[in-house]
Amino acid sequence: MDPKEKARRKLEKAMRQPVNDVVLEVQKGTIDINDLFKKIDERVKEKADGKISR
Amino acid sequence: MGKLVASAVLDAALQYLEDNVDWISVCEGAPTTYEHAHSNKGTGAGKVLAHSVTPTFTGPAPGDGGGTSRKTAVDAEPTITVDITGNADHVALVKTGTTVLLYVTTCTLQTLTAANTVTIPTWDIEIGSPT
Repeated sequence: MDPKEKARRKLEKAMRQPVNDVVLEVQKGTIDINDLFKKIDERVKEKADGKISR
Repeated sequence: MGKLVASAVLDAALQYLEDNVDWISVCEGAPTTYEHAHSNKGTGAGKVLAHSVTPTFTGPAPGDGGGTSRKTAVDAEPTITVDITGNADHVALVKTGTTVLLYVTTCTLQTLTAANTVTIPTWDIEIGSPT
């Protein structure tokens, strides 16, 4: 992100005023790429077997 | 077979978010389409209760999972005005230019009231190293 745009967004955030503010509890998002690697392995095998062309 | 991914590969994915997300929304129900995460509840299929057009990120940095895992922090979004009353349980990251829903996570259900404000604290997105 352009540093100027990032600074503009941060400034805009800082200027907001709370009204009976509710604070959310957000769960961390974790991406497990094991499944992705398994899919790549499967695709490589399928390609080797001639089941797919690309 | 051993598996490995370089940190630079994961950083590229996290950097993609930073470079493209320009809309963060608080939703009632799980958004699975752009419209869900971009249109207000009550408008078409919209699920949005509140949104901000000022998302920023800090990172990427080493992840908590060890190995080559990497994470980026979605910076806090303080005091966003609530547009629609409802029960917030999801947060979505969107790219409006190409109308793409890029990321969704969950939050503990909280009731929001229109015209009040809601704060999304900073939270992490982490990509683990393969095992």
